[in-house]
Amino acid sequence: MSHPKRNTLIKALGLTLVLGVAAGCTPQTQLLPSGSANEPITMGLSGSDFEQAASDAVQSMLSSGSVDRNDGKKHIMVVSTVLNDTMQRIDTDQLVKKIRVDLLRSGKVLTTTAIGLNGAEDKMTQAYSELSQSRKIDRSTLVQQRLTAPNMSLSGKIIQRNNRVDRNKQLVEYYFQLTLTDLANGLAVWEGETPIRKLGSAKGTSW
Amino acid sequence: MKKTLTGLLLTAGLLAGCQTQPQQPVDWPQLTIGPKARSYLQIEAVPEGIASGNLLRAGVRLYNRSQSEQTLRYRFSWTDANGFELPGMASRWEQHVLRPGEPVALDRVAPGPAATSYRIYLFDINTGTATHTQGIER
Repeated sequence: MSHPKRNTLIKALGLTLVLGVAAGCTPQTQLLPSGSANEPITMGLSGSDFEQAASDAVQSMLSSGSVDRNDGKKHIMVVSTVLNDTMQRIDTDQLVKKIRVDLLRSGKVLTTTAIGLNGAEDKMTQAYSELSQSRKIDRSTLVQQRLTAPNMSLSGKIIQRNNRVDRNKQLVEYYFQLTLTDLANGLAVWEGETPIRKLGSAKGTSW
Repeated sequence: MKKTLTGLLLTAGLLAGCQTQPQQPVDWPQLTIGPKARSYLQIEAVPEGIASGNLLRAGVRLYNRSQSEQTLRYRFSWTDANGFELPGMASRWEQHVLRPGEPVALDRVAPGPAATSYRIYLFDINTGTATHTQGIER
């Protein structure tokens, strides 16, 4: 006597069991609270590394007095080039944005979004100046633009160095180097470097 | 009488040993230190001043008085005149490895001129998770 129905049922049950076990073994996605003690550490650069570098830079700028002004005005900063000389694909804005936000909060520095090496960061500044050509615009609502020129420039570089320690371990070093230049005279008024060193398995990759 | 006294002392000792709430040292009211961190931290000074013209600056000088290496988690919390906490990278949780007897100075500049007071949270890495905003050791 054949049991095609029973065989099908056994197969279905087996498949359900395998799927159930597989689902049970899948690591659950977790939401990591900011600054949690058990934050995973990777050999590559992570968000907390950028936070560390940006925080070090801002704290150093503020405590050194290099962004002080005694005329009651604020510095106007332009972001120049921040080179990514690592083996990883990094958007350097991850670093620069954090610095900009904290400098803005400090009340010492404003960042221009109308001027940059690759044109305006916010293209609307240019587009706004062209609104006066349009007949659809109520000209009485237009304000005359007077863009503020920057007096300071932020530039920098992120460097990576990999060193084999022994057969099993490697040391990966990252250096966040930043410079604040006074555009009136081209002199660096502040410079900072934050090294971040990670020791881990030689089998892992940091890119 | 002697037995009662011994019992009382033992109970008091046990209660002190079970203390899990972070405490503010009497000498340094700006500090909140977790129970485990309190067992090895020696606070030397809590200096404060002004940086960059109008920004509050605060710090703590301490050392690890135990015989083994410890990892400290710490955070500076900045509040304005109304008691609201100010956000910023100067308020994030950080870690520092403390070697026995090695003096360490931690200091931060407030995120903005609105900061009028501060609190420094010092917890051991292994004591538990402290949330970003509450700074309460659990």
